Amino acid sequence: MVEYQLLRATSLVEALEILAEKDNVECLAGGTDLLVDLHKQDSKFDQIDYVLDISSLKELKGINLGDKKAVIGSLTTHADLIESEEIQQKLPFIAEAAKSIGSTQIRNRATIGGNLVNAAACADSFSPLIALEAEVVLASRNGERKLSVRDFVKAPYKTALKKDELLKEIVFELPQGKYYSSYQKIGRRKALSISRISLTLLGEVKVDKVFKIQVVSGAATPSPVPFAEVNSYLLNKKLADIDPVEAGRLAAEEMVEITGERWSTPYKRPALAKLVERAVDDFLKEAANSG
Amino acid sequence: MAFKHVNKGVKRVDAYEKVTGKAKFGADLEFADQLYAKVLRTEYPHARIINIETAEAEKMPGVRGVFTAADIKNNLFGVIVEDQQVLAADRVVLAGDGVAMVAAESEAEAAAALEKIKVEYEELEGIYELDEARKKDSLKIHPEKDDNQVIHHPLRKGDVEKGFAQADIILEREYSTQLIEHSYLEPEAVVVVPEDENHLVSIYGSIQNPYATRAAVATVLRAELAEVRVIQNHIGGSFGGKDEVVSAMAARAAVMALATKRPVKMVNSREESFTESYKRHPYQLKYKVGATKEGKLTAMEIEAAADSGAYACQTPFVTWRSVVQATGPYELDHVKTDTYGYYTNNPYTGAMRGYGSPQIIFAQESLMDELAEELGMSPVELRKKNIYRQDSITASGQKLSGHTVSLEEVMDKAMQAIDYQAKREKYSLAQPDDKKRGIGLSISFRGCSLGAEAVDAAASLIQINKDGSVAVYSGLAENGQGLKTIFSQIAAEVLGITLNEIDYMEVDTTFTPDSGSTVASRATLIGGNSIKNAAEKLRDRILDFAAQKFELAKDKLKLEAGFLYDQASNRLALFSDLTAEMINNGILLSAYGWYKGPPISWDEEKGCGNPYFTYVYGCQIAEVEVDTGTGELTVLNMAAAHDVGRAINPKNVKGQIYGGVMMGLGYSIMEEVEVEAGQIKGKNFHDYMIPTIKDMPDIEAVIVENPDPDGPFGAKSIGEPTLELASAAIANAVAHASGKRIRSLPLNLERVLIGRALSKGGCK
Repeated sequence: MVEYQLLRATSLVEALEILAEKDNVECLAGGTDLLVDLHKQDSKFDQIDYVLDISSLKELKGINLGDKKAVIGSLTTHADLIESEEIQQKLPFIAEAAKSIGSTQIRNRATIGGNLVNAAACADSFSPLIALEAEVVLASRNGERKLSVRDFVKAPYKTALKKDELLKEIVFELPQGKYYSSYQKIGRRKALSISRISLTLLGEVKVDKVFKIQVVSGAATPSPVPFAEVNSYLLNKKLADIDPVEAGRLAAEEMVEITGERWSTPYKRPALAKLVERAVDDFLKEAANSG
Repeated sequence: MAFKHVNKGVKRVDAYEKVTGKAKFGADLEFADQLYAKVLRTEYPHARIINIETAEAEKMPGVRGVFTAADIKNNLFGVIVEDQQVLAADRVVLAGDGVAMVAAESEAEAAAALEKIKVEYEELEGIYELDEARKKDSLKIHPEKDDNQVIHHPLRKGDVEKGFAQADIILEREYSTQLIEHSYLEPEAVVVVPEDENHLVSIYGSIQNPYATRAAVATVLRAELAEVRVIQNHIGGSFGGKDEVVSAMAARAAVMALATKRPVKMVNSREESFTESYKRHPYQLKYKVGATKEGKLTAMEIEAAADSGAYACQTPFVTWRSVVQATGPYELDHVKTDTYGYYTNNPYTGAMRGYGSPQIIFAQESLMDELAEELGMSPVELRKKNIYRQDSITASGQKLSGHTVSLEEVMDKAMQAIDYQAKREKYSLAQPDDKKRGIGLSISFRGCSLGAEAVDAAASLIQINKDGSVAVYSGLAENGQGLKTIFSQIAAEVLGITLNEIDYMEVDTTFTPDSGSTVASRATLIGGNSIKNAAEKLRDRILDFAAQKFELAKDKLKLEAGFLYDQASNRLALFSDLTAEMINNGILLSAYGWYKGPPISWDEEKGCGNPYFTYVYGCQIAEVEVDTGTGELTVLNMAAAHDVGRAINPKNVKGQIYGGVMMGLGYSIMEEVEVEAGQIKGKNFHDYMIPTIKDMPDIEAVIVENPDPDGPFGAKSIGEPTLELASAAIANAVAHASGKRIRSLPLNLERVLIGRALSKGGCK
């Protein structure tokens, strides 16, 4: 039996005090991962002494998109992201990713911060944030530090979060100029489905060339990473010279280089190639349409 | 014939208590001094038990008893073959066999004590593949038996060699289907009360078949049937699944209740339910079919092997339905069919909605489309050249007469409902995008009720009170399918009263007559006839009395909406006044109803006879979109046309169709209990995929009515036919869309994209 004491923090300061002073604390935000794992009596909880409920901390809530800078509080739920008009207009791929997560009930409770801290290989929040080159703000009693989302996740279910730290918010520069995005996901059913593969493409175009590009994997690799080969293939290329099929092929090769041949590779290789091809295709079409 | 209650979509009689949450389910029940019990289940699929050490567990707080097989009077039970142990004595044969159990003051204390029980095992080699189980020299899972074969059903008609010689084309194909879970919403739950009201034990809970549970518990306790009382509660879904597994649970709780002299409650968690409940049989199927170039079938040879898991359970009867229906509804002069069941150390398999038909229909209806393609013929044309029609002779030699053989009608109505022809033509043109659409169909005939499995009879009891209120009892059980409502409608129709005068009673084995199990889509047909019989007896009794009282001929009187009328529709009396007067005159106003199905026959050695006294016919059509780039499969629309004889409650029939189509869809495209060396991987619904509401297509439900002379008001069956057709229809639609034929279920991402399954690992 997993046994623990439940603590509830009413302010960020209090929460950080508790984290600094007590050992073996698990934080409870939306609870959609933690409570399931506790129910399963997961052995990773053998050592915990406390569950710290942070779900009511106002300091960690809210979406704030300025002209250039964006801040998303870590307790922002997926439902909040979907409902935010600003997100829908400026960052539709984030809303798309949020929509594809779980069910209505889960989206109402699960938080973007929780999704990052849990750091499952199939977590749907990573690829859009890595494409945005977002950073996490990690707070502790001693102050705050920033880390890129990409560096925050170390391995499946492992992050750079220290035991006395809380993920406070996510910050990034809003893309400027003409940018286009695509979010793609394959699951085993239409809802409540864990991603088999997901990815985000975010690209900026200047004149007829790709000025900036980020194609980032989700679920296809143990940790979400940008596809370097695909990005270098696309960067600075004239739109007319881009072959989406080639981009797909490069992505699949890169995935296999990272993961090696696994049980799922015979499926994931063609499926990922197709998703990247589609994302690039979407990007080219949108760019052409807005000419 | 104009009906007052029958053939109308009246509100379910149990709707109010269910939607308001007032309905009490097994886990809701509480008794004074109740204990909670939990079972220690083995993780080994095959092992010898060297020693079980319970001393430490017995000393744990709150523990009132720790039990092993040694504490059980008769440890073996089983409906067909007694090979299932209440608790494993010397050997475990599947991962999930119970080895010990604890009764304690609380569930947590019982769980804590389980951890203190030490079991020493010697692991044994196991059998996890059908091919291995079939080998002559393979190890025997039940050493007292000759081999691992549970059953073999042969069927022979004509001479297949001759039939194949007449063929212009011969096709040989292999298909396979997977292990799936019933996925009822409510996990198993029972409470057993000892020495209760002159019974040795009273058993409450989530029980599909109260009489089967009573028999199992009486066997285990070596008690008489009358000493064991089973009272059914509301049940949160069963689909064939709450039979043997619940009987085992009830037997365990009964042993503990008698030993502790206190009520014992057991409720499975979802994980426990996945671990120990039986599931749908996986099949391996080999089909060989011959046809002339004109598309007339000349011969069919079939071998179907089912994985029974470690126990026989329902395998002998499941594979029997398969042997009867294996050819599908097609006229054939030459047939050779063999169906088999084999023991393995896998989770055991038993009854599940469909019962041996979904597997063979997936194969045989996929085969028909493959043959049509080889012949350059449309799937509809090929079928219509060969389908059963009025007075056709089946593979077992039965002449289909006495009821309407409506295959062509269900096909035409389903095709019309979904605009099949236009879509078929459109999707047959080249589709340049990755996302391709297709449409496919499947058809079936299905024997109603038990057939030659067992005596097919049911009883009911209707009691009319002095004030005209009516209590209806039946030996068949409401399992969510709507039985209470259907039976109430039939009783109200015959007695000429309003539905709200009827109080429908739960099954209680002490008061309701043994009517066999509520299975095989038999309740409306067999049970409905027995209700009608009881109501007719009472109606006659009332009309006899009224005829005397009003000095009118009996046939000039009728009961309707709670009144007695004469021929000129003058109201003569209130139903309640009449019944009060009768009771005051000492006339019995209770009656048992009884119905036994018409004669049937089966020769087990030759596989011939009239196995069922009537049949139902169905056609389902699936319209799909296949993403040929990713393997994603979307079922866009489905049509389902089913001949039900007569719909006692058309809304309820549609509900059955929607539910059955959805279960069929899950079976077709996503569900699979993954088992590796006897171990189930993924024991909850985050791993085991069932369809969500977003996966649900639009479903056109078409009710076809050809009243059956043997059905109550002409009614037959609907529960199971709705589930058996989707997989072949969807597989045929996928082949139409993508050009790829998939011969194994489920049609998951990997099979659709790369044509084969990969071992799943989920996200982690």
